[in-house]
Amino acid sequence: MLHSVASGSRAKTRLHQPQRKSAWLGFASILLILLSQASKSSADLGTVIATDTSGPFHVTLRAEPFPIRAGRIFISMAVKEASTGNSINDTQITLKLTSPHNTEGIDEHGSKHHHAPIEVRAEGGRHPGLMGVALDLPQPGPWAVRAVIRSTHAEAEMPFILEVGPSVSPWIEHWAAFAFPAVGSVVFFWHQRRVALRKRLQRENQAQSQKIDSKRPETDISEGRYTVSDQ
Amino acid sequence: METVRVWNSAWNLDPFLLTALLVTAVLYMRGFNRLRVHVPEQFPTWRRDAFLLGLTVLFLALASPLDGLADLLLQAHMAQHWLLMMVVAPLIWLGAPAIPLLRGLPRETLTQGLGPLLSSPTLRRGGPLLTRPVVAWGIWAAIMLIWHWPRAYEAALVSRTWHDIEHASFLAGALLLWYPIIRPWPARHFASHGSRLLYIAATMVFNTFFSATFAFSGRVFYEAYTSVPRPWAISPLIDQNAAGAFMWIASSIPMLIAAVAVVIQWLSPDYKRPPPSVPIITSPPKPAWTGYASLRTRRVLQWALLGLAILIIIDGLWGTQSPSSENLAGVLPWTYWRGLSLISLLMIGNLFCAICPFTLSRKISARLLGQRWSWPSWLRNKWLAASLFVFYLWAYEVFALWDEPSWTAWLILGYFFFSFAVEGLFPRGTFCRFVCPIGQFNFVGSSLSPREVKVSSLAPCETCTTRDCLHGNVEQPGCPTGLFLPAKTGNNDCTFCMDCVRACPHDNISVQPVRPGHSIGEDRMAKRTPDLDWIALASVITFGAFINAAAMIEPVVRIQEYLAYQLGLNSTLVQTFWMVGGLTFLPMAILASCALSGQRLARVGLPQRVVLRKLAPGLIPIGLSMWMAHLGFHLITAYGSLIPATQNFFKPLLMGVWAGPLSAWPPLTADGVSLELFILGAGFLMTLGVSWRISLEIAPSTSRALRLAFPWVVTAFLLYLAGTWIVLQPMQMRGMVM
Repeated sequence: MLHSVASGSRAKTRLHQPQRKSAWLGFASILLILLSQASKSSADLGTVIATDTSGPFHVTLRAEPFPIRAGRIFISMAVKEASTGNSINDTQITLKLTSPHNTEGIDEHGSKHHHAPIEVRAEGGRHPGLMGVALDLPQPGPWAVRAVIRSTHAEAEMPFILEVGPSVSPWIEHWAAFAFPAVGSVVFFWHQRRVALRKRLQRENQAQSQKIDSKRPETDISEGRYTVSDQ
Repeated sequence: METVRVWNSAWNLDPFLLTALLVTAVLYMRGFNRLRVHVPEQFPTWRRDAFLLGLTVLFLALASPLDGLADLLLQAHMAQHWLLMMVVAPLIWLGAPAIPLLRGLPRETLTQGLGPLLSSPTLRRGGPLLTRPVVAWGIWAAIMLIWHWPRAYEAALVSRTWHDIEHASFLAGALLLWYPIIRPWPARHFASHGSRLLYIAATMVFNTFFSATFAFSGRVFYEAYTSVPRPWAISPLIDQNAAGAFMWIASSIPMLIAAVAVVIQWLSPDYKRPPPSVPIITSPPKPAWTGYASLRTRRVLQWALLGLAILIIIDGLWGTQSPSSENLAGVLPWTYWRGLSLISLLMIGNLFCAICPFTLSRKISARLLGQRWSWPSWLRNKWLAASLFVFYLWAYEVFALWDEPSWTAWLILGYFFFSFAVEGLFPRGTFCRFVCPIGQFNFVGSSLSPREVKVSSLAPCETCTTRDCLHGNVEQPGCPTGLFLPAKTGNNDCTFCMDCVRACPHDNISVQPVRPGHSIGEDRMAKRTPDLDWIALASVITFGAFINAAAMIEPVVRIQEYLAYQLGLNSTLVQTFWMVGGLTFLPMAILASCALSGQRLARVGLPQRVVLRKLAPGLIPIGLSMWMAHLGFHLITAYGSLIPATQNFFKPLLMGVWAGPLSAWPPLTADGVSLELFILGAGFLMTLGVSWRISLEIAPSTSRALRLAFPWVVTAFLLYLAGTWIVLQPMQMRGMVM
């Protein structure tokens, strides 16, 4: 009977251990899942790239990501009354961007290339009170930009130069995608090591128990236990 | 009016955020429902409600206009952080999510995937260390102080990356902070009730000093707020003071609630520690759902696809030929069907073959033509199908099929004709099994499907004498491709038609979840090595992915033009060399050298031929990932092409009712290149796993398995690099409106 109680308590401990382990892994996986979700913020006010007063307007332009590189960028614009500093919401803003190489011709491969000025109209941005527009700037260099601001009462222009750096290397731009198979390979390696270790431990445990069984005198434990219980 | 403007501004319905939240919720619910059966006392419904509420608040904090407003108002930003730290974190822990999330995973993923990692001593040491009250509190306080330092805070305001890191660290810190207070089941009890009260008091004291700094300061800490529009004309200083007051009061409330709860627990005579119990995996498998096996559903879907095929043929033959992007024959098969059928293959199973319209006429053709001949024995393999697949890829490139609606229509008509003839003249299933290149692609691809038609238990099959799954019976036909279900493994030659499910008199066959790729390296019958014809087919499909995608990138097109010019050859001939060489000689050379070098390195006693037949299919995942990246790219970039093509097709019928400007939907803003690279990476990892598994099966020791797998993994890595290079090149937008 005593033997049976002891084995029962060991069984409970055995049940308990994997549960604890999985609780920690659960903890880690929850952290990972939640953090992946938390990292989806759209807050990207951007860095101020130009701010000036033009006519009755005070205009602030911001870009994200910064520093600006050839490729996709997002520009936010805030327009305030120059005299009072109050935000104006009923304006229309158009950006006219002229590329550093505003030419048309034939390249070395015989293809026609043409870099026409880009004209975009800002719309409701990602933030209340800000207008925004996503742009694809194909080339690096100094882009001449004219922001045309129109409201029901006035119109103003704000010219400025936008310095655009060369586009970022795809290895850096898509670093997470490139890191994925590398990290995955490391985890796979770790996983396989753990699998091998577990198998080895299982084999050793089996060998150990066989060794113990071979040393134990041949008695029918179940029969003996029943005998004790019956008494 | 300002309020309306604010709340009507952008909701950030980021697809990744929504997907991650939904997946988490589904996993939790699956696990919760299973655990509730075994330990209902540990999982009352309020736990589920708390967890789901936590996810909802997380969604609101990150996706609602509060996120945008947070860049303009410090109060809004503090409210967002308060939601993350003082609402989301405790609600998540109240759901006791550790075990439900694990139990929500597929059994095999948990036992074989996570199981070995669970026993890692590093994890076992790291978890308890991090959640010790002093450590957890220290980390949280450090995170608070670091991120409110003006430079760090302003960096987060102007940069998306830093803002993401800020939010992630706030949530992580808060989860750590709340862990010792809530002690979500089955956490170990670190501290007594008194210690927990002290812990809460320390947090409140920290919060008081911290918030007071903001509430009573006379100068603006964060300059960024001075140059942004001020909603409701609140000055930056007043905003900052109000933010401090908000932090003070709002953060104290959850802590006070927690303190009251601890005191109640402490004083309650009935309170005792919840008993630990329930092993991780106990639930018996649920009886499989077989609703999908309805013949009527299959027929309805087949007729629907037949209708679409007829529309494509009509538009292809008589509709606008140029631009092809305004013709249904230029859009539906090449942009939509290819991408969607591959997605369904990888997400569910071989759905296209299940509802294939070409086999609708099977019964009629059999009655008319009598199925009087038998398929020649020398053609009862995959060589013909592999050759037809090579021919298709060659014709696609040379004749620019995507840009020729009439050719597409003729191709579909030809398909109907041949399936009718072959199915009519030869025994049932001959076309699917030995001829159809689409079917062969699906058979190879479905080796990565997460579902498989298989027997639920072998016991009824051992006593079954009629073998209805194979031969059929009076009411139902048997498997059209001659699969005997008890011996079947994987999805090779399985059309998901469910004839076997309906025919089995013991209701012993169903669609069951399997580990993707588990059958790679085996033939359609378990424990049989694939034959060379299957290897040829698999390698044509694998290498075809790269050859087909490379043919549409600028550098390859230029090389072909250059070669044609220098050698004075017709460009068609150069393309033919490119396709045939890339699909036959190149794979043969690579696979043979891998088998030879692997065998020599590992010194295994198996013949090279066997090594080749076992390990070459391991490259299927990287090949399919390239197909997915390529076809998915077309699907994402031209997902709106259906609009102009449909408008154009129905223009004569609509008489100007829907005559607006021909336009596609706006392009998706998702980062397509990153997605393609992720898919390629997943393909490489799967190839790595499959090659390793097969090597372990046939090599006598781990070190020899490593050497045996080495050349195949190197090949997979080179294919991954080739795919990466292709993806990063400018691609032709073949016949698409963007």
